[in-house]
Amino acid sequence: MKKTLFFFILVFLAGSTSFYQAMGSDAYEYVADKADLLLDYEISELNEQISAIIQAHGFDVAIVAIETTDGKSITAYTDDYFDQYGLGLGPDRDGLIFLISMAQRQWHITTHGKCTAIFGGSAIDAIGSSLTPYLSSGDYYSAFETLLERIDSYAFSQPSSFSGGYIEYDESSEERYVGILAVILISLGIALFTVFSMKRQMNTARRQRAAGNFVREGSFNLTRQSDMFVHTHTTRTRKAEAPPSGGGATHTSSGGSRFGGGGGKF
Amino acid sequence: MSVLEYKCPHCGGALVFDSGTQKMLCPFCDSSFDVEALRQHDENLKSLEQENINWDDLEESDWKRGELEDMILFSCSSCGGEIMGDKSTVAKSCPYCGNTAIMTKQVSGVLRPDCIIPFKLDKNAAKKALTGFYNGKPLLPGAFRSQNSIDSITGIYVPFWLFDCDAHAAIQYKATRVHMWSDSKYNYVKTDHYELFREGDISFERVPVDGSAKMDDSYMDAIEPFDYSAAVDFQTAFLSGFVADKYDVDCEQSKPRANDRIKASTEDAFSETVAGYSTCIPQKASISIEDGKIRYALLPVWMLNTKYNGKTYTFAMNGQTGRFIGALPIHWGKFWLYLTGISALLSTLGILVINLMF
Ligand SMILES: [Zn+2]
Ligand SMILES: [Zn+2]
Repeated sequence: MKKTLFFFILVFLAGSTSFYQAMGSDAYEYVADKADLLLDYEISELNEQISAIIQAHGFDVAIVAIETTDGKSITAYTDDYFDQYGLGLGPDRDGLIFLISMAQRQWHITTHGKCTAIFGGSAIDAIGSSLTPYLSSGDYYSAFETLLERIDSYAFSQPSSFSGGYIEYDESSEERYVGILAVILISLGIALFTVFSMKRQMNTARRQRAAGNFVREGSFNLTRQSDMFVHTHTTRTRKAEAPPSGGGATHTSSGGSRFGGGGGKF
Repeated sequence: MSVLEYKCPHCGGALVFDSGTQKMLCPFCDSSFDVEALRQHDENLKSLEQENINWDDLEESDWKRGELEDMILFSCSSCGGEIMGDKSTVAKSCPYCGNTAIMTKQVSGVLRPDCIIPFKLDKNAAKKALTGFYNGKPLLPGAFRSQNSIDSITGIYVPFWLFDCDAHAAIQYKATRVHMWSDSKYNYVKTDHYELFREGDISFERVPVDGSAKMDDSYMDAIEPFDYSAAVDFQTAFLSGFVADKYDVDCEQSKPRANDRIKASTEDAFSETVAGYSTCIPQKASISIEDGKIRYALLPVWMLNTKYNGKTYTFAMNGQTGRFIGALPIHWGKFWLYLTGISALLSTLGILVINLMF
């Protein structure tokens, strides 16, 4: 029983280590204005605000403006940008990136780590609708300022510990509940095995099925034996297709990270 | 050629000889077999047909002069149990039901035991073993141990029929070897089917079957084995201080049980010679018992009774080896407490681990 328990804990610990990925470097600009939408002082203003948010909430924030996504979907582009620049803080790479593409007139927010929990689908929609008027009218600085205000206020409305934050559109919460269910079932199984072996000790009177104790030593003698091959039979079954990835609001980037987020047009 | 008479061991169709491969082919299922293997297979089938069970009559020995007169029979008017003792024995209560209404009679019409294993362990050893038996039993009600008093403790020579024989067995098995592999699209399972045959001999010495209907078979089986090397010729003097149960199941009635145990062990021994297969299921077994001898022996057993909440609990100890057997009451409150306690503890630990992960 002890062995089973130990093995079981070991398996879970081994699994959990894979979740700890290398921490990214933080040598980048918070605001990357590749589409030339902002003035220099506006950029430094935004950089300061972002820096304050990062210190207050412990997650990464970046604003990226580009001309075009080079044919990629804006979601994929944003996710790849997040991976490529090693955004995100801590072992879970908590972070959020806002990306705007001028050619498509599209914006997208990608979230990772605890930001996926803080900024669920409805939060992103709400943020988006408050930005769209500014974006449409070309007042990008006001749009980004509003964005940062909303990020700050959403983060403040969350409890500081995120044990209960994984409710909205999160695949990992499902995995967690399945894990908990498995843990309870396995625990129940071990407990049942233990108490039934305790119960078995209470009555040691058992009929003997055989007479193995009474075989005359050395009397067993095999006089004839044969193993004849009769026929063979092979069955073939189609492999189960891999389940479709994504679904809901999280998806996995080409780099293998799991992201949340959403976006819209302006 | 006579080989044309062979039937396919797989589908039962008539086989034909293929001169190209020098093998017998089945036109129905495409199996092919060596002629020699088929010849053996036919012989195996013949071996599987034969089954004899031959037990010699019991080897009776006559009572010596004065032996029967030296003994008294005690008969319980409550449960009908009958025990024998030597003349000095005073039976206060029935060892089976604890009743004190005991009648005394002359011993007559019983066989003389062939041999006896004298008691090696005394009453105190039995008492000590009982207390030891309570240890390491978490489900035992606390009051059972504290309120417990030994109601009766009796050293009984239990009548056993001892069966000696040579067993000859022919057993056919169906076995499979399973290989699994896969490519990018499919999983494959290849099952090779085999027909196995084993034939041979095995001997048994003194397989015991108790001759007392009053003694629970599970108790008597569980205190096995006795060390027969300490068995000596019967003398009434061994009964002094003990009682002997009068057998009420004769050796004829005990044979089926002996046969079952001998057959089961024979099958076990042959099954162990089968190795390297994924599955192996016995199809047909013919087990003959030859040179079967039966002896009547008295074997030493301590019987202990305790009362708890108006119920009697019975324990048995092998009077030679000290092997202790019994059934104890279960505290169901403790049972559920342990069940929920262990589940809760492990679940909590597991959930903690999961919370660290996600
Ligand atoms: Zn065939
Ligand atoms: Zn009685």
